[in-house]
Amino acid sequence: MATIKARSVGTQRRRSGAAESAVVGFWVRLGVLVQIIALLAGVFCLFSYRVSLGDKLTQTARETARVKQSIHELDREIEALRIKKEVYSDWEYISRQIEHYNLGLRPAGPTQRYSLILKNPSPRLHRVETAAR
Amino acid sequence: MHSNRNLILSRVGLVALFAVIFAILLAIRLYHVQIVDHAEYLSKAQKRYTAEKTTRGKRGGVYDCNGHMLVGNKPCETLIVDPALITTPEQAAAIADIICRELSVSREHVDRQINTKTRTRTNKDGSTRTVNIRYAVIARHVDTDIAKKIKQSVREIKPRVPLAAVYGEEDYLRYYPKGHLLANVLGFTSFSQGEDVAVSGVESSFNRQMMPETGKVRYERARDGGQLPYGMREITQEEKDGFNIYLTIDEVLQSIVEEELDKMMAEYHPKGAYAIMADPKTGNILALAQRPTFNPNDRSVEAMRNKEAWRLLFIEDAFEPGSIMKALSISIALDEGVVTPESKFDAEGGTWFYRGKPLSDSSRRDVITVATAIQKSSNIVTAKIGLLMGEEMLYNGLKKFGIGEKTGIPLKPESRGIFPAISKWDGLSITRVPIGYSVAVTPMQMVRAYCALADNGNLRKLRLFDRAENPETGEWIENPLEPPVQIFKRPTTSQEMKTMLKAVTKEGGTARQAGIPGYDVAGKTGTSRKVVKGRYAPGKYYSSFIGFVPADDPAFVLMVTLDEPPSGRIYGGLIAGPTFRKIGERALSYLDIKPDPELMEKRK
Repeated sequence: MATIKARSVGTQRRRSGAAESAVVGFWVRLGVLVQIIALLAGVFCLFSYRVSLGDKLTQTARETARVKQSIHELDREIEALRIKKEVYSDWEYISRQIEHYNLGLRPAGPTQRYSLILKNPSPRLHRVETAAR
Repeated sequence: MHSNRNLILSRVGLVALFAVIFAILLAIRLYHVQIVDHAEYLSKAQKRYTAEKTTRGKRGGVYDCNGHMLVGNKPCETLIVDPALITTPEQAAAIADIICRELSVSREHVDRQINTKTRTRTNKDGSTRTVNIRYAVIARHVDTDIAKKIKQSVREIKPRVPLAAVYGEEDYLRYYPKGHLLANVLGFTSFSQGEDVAVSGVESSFNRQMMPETGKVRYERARDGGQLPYGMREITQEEKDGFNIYLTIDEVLQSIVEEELDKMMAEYHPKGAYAIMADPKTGNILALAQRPTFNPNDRSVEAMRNKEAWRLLFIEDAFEPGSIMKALSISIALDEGVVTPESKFDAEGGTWFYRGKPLSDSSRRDVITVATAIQKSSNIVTAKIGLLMGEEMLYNGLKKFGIGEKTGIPLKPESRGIFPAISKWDGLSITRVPIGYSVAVTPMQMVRAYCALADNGNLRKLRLFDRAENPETGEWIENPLEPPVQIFKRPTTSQEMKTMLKAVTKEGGTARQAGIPGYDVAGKTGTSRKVVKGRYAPGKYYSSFIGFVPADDPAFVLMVTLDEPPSGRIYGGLIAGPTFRKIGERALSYLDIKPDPELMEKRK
């Protein structure tokens, strides 16, 4: 009887030891799983970040293209305005307008002319003059 | 029981392992797709919703020496319709109404472009197939404002027409903002297969430099192929604009010359005329005008019919210069010590026979000095000086002045004129060449020779091209001044010649009308018979005046020539002289060259 009792105690002890080790094993596995999941989540986050970065790059490129297009359109407008300015500064056009509005302008005599020296000429004019020299 | 549990656990583990491996493989694949091969897949995807088109940079412009635009590119649009998107006859009619209201295009053309929806194409095997027309050009070079207005009006049509049904493609029109100013020199381009093709003038001579380089643009397209207005637009290959060309021409001086030339044409109605102004100290051409001319912006058949107007008469056509040659001949004789201004010659009472052929002066004179011969333009005395010089001295001397040589002006085609070698001279040539016959020169050659006279014998190449600008970098490419060649041996020759030429525009000279109050004008008149088909045409002449002012420190050399002046007013001094004076007065005022107070006082 005593032997049976002793065996059952031993079995109980073994059982409780096995249960304990199963619990420990479960937590160990869970820990590993959590680590794997965390790793995967990290990788996923990294991917997502890289993908969103790519998307942002594409969006930025698109925005750049749009700005470039606006600049291009402005350049065309500037060019059209420059052509208009050149048409209006043509002497033939000016003399027609003088006649049209009956302004009665006449050329200045030699003693009526003075040369003005600009202290701050426009950069473009300066460049043209420098090149002309 | 225990073994069952283990089996289950091992199976779960296996499945988990597979799941993990699968997830890892998936992650690797995802990494490859999204990161490693991202660019490749993106470009593959883009190919499905993007298209590429070739773009062209702008052709370089042409400017005067002060940066005023003479030729530019006017932004405009090519108006396109997509007939497949215009579904109802009402829509087609409404679009055609709008276009015809804004543009001067025929209704028939617009209707045809809008309503022709398909085209039959022949395959290589000879079979035919019908294809939809998605691109029909309504008009090219449409003003951007007008194109905008048309597109806006089309948007308001009910029932609504898709945006891509009528659209504009960016384009540039070669434009000459100053109209006919300098038109012959600038030349023009024609439009062929989507690009400007140089035809004449500076446009043709500097075509290589002004030509733009093509580029490529990738853009997002809609399902119908049209460009999405706010879609991606990526430049895959940068286009490059052509170089800008800067000429030595001064727009203000050019305007003065052209205006006075127009007045002269209106008053005397010659067949043609030209005026050339150059700076003798640099060889820079300051103004260059000819009549007839044309407006390069007007390409109607009617406007372009007169091909004479396109030609560069001042370098293409050679003419016998007549008496304006005397200044060159006598300067050679002075320089070689053959004569002095005081040397006396018998003017034979106005008519002299040499080798049985008569040579006449316009008035009877007996013994006169060389200085008087220049002032009165004596053919007989100049011919006698020619005989004294001899053929070789005269020929070599005129060669030094650049007669029979190209001037260096970068326009094509340039004639060398006709200056035969001595071996081809006949017995009379030695008396005819010094007075400007038996030799043909271009007006440009004459201006170059007078520039040398004006600048103390320094013969320079004439310059029309000053510099080029790279619009991308702003870098300048200069056309440097070449050192002149001294053609006179004696330092006094030039001054002696100037003194004699000053007398031409003074009391007793042949060109008093060319004199400018307050300034010393040195110049020479010339009236020569015109050769038509190898013979002197009766009643047809060239009348010229060429001179420089102020004589002792010249600001410019100016030549004015009339081709076929009216009968009764054929003399250069009478008809070209006044135009020289008017141009000279205005040009001196613009250049701010003050009159000599002493001369002003004398005039009073």
